[in-house]
Amino acid sequence: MDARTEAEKAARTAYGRLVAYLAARTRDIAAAEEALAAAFLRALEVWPVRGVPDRPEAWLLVIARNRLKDSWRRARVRSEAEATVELLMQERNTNEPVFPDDRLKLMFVCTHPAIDETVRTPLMLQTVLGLSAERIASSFLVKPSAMGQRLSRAKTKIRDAGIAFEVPDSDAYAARLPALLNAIYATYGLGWVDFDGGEGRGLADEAIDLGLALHGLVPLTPELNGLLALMLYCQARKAAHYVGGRYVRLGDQDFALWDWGRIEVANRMLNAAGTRRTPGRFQLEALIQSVHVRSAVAGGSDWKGVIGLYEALLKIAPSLAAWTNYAVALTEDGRAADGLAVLDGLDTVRLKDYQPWWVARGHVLKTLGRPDEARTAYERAVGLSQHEAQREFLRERLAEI
Amino acid sequence: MKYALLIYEHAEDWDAYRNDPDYAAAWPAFTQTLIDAGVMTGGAGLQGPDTATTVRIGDGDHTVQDGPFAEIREMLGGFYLIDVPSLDEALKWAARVPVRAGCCVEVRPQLEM
Repeated sequence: MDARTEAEKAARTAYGRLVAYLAARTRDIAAAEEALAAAFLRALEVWPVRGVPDRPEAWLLVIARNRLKDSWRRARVRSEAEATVELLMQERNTNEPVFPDDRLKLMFVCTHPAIDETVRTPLMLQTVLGLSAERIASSFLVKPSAMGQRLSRAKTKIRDAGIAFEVPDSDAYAARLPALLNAIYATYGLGWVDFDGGEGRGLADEAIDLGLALHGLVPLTPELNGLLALMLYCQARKAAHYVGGRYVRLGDQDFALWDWGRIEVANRMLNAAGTRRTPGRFQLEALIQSVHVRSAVAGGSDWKGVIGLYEALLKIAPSLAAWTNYAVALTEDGRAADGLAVLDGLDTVRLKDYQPWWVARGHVLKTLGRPDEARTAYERAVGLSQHEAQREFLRERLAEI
Repeated sequence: MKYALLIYEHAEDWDAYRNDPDYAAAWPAFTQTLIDAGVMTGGAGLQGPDTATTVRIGDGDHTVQDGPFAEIREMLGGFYLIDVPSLDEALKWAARVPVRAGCCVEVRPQLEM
């Protein structure tokens, strides 16, 4: 492996740990990132000549710490920072074999209630996984400069308002965990939509990485397991769901294209969560996916099982998506009139531009034998689609009417 | 770090608040708790917005007006200055300020001077 590849690998696997370690001691995420960027540049100069060190992460950390020390000395910052410098240097002298993993603290800082909700997910993507502001901006459909500003404002607030780099104590922990899980799920949601990206790692993979990192840092957390299982079930079917620029419905998918390793991990995650008997939104959504997977493999469907799970989900997390999918499940179970009633009962103001609702409506009306209304709904859905594959899928449905 | 807890209370029933003995008693108790915890560095309770006078600074001159600087629903009722390790600690103290439901406590870090 050449030096560049080695540095890039170290960047991917260690970036978040290095940022977390430095920022947890200085509260200054931007300075930590800057120091690390310099350390990675230095690695690319030195490693090809002297070879890659035994512990690349520790090497990078030493360079980054020196860099931080230098910039603080130059800026002649306050004595508090001087004390931190001393601490950092002492820690280096102990020559610890591995440095502590502070990523959990960093994740809780990124999703702190004092941080604007819309920037929490981008902040976590940048600091924990090292994604660039440009990459994040394109996923969030904003200009890179605007995203850069938002991220930098958040980092300044973390530093200047003195947000604690610590894992919340047990009371606050339970209250703060949902924001963390939601930020990971938001990442996945963006990645899922981002189909046309095609090659390479998508945001959905990054979300799974974030979830797995968190999974390695906390004791068994049923809702985290549920979230991971949910993402893994969906991701495992992605190659079969989207083939040659076209969507394939679950029942028509080629099971050989499913990632059975991921499905197995998802099953295990969900089973482990189930032992706690504390159902939650993500566990229920994952269970729905597991029912879909199992029954599709058996060559059938279990709509009654799915309907029961949606009813449980709607009691605790009544989202538009859950209601819409519930209506479809009712329709598939031969209760299209009930499905339509569910769709019509939703807040229509919010639905104006919610594409899945129009898709579901088209399907339900088609099933009810109301072709004209079905066509209108599908056409509206086409207009709201973001990707050509969605439009193509809907045109096929229109042709069936 | 040093923080200011800026306490905003409803302007319209200001006097009713002040005349409630339970409300009045809660403040010295809270203040004493801050002192006992060793975090209090300063603060003041303020008289009502009816007593406010605003000096507006112009370019080389100034005007004096009766009343608070803006007529808004919530008025600054007082503030505490505290010294705690992090924003999270400051937020915990802010949540304990004995204001009525619906009032706000804004937490701002102090400038290092």
